[in-house]
Amino acid sequence: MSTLMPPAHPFDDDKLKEECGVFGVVGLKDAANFVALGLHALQHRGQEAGGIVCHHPEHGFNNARRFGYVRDNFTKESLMKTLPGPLAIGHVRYSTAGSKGAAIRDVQPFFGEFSMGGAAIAHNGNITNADSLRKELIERGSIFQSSSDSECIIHLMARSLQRNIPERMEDALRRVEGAFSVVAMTRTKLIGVRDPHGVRPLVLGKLGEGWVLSSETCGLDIIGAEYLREIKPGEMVVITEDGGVESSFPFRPQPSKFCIFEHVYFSRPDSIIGGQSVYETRRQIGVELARENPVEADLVCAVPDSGTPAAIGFAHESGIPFGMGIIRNQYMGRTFIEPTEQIRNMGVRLKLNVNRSLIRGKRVILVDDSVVRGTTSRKIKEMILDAGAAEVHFRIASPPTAWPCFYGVDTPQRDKLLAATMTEDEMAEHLAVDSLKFISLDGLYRAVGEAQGRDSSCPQYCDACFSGEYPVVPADMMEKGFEMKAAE
Amino acid sequence: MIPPKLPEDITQVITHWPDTAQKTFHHLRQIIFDTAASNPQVAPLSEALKWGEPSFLTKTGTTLRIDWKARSPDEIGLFVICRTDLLDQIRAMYPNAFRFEGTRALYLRLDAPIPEQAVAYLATRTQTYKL
Repeated sequence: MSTLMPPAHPFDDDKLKEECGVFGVVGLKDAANFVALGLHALQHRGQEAGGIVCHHPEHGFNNARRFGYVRDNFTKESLMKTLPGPLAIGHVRYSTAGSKGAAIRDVQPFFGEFSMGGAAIAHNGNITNADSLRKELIERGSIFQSSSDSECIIHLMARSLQRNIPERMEDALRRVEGAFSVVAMTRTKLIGVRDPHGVRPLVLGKLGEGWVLSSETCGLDIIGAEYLREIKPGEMVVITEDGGVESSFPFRPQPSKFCIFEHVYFSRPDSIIGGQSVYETRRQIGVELARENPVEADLVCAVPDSGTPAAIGFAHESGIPFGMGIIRNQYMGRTFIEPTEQIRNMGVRLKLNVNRSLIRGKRVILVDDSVVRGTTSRKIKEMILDAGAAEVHFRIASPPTAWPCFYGVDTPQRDKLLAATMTEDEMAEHLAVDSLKFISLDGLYRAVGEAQGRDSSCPQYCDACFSGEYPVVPADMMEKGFEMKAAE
Repeated sequence: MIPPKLPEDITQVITHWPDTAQKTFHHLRQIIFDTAASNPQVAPLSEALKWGEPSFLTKTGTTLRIDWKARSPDEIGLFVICRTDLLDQIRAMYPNAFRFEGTRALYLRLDAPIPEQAVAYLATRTQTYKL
């Protein structure tokens, strides 16, 4: 078996990438300022572009869409002055190269003008029948402005004959398959909707007289809003400044299938999901991992930052000391610098460095949240050995990622996923580590609070990236040749 | 939800339909009852024969009828009151899910999968037509 590794982009940390975060505010003066702060807190869900749409009773709708970090765009007074009004929504987006991220026209929120007034939408998730919807809509006369799947929602709303925007949105989302957590707005209403499986998160908060919708609770914390509750799977809330929250469940009920990887990696550790601290869940994953896969060693280190809580849990359960053996340069995020070949060859060293004095001579357990293509894992192992470690044992806080996600996460094709083509032992050999072990699917379920583990007849979460069991058939991808796992 | 026992007079009617039409009828009926059960605004659903056709009625909506006809043996029809704009609403959102006829009829082929979302949408719109 070849041990050659493909050249990696030095800023590519070989992680799955969440593709969006959404945020909305109604009932607060200069709502766009709060949205900017909320988006800043949700920046981990998308770093390449962001946008805000707002409405002011006299100035109407305004919007700004920019590439880059929220802090680099939506902190400028000159820009924020153009976004007045008590109602605003925003979106941050991650995308990869090519059509997914090349154009400002793909940056949300999307806006549409209807006979009963304007509306804007911001979507987190992925529409699995977007290709067929787009084809049908174009054949019926729709003129698309972007390459985004989310734009289908606006065009479907335009087709609906219902009397108001929320009803039209309801109609549109009935036709949509896949995952959606949508924050939308009209001139007077803030709207939040989750798909019937509730794959992606969305929470409701209150700040003074205002209401807030956010992908995660960390977005509420940054503006000092009180966390009220999660929007439930299949729920639509319509919020007015003076009328409060109207809730309805317009879709056919489906079993809840929240994305289990939100617990493992996507969400911020200071967020609360399902009443549980994400940090505490990740720590518990480390505990389960240590119980399932003990190994004799001198030091537990995290691959920062996402592996840290699990490493702390692993150390606590195993009794092996935790140490910061790898230090992350917090200022070397995804950037817009196109690196030279020389810089490219530096690889992960640009982002991570080894604490040599701590590592030297020790048997090291490295805890990471996941292995996607394995490119970074191998380089980290080499750095640890170069620093004088006696042994390197990888412990992974998620089961092998063997299937792509079609519900709002950027994943490589299946044949690029290490776990799709190799067994655990083969992966260990490929990465050339002393041992490699993953948490089991049942262990992960126990860590997220399911004491009996995974219910194989009806899994409590969407775990398709590990199990290959997709709660919503990825129709477009199957049209393109993707083969689902055969029934056992 | 489990639909209530099928009224005897409706059973008598559908007994004369081909097996595929009966099977499709039960599938459609399940969707119609599921849709009503999932919306607390919908008043209780009842079943009766109207114009000799199995029909679903609720005070919050308008009647939805289902029938199989020997002159079009490969299809099953869903019928609404022609004075409503329901077919326009359905056609706007699901233009390819049914074969539409005039302002009152939507047909499904018996040998094709049932477009559950589209049928649920039709059920919702009929059951909430007066709201």
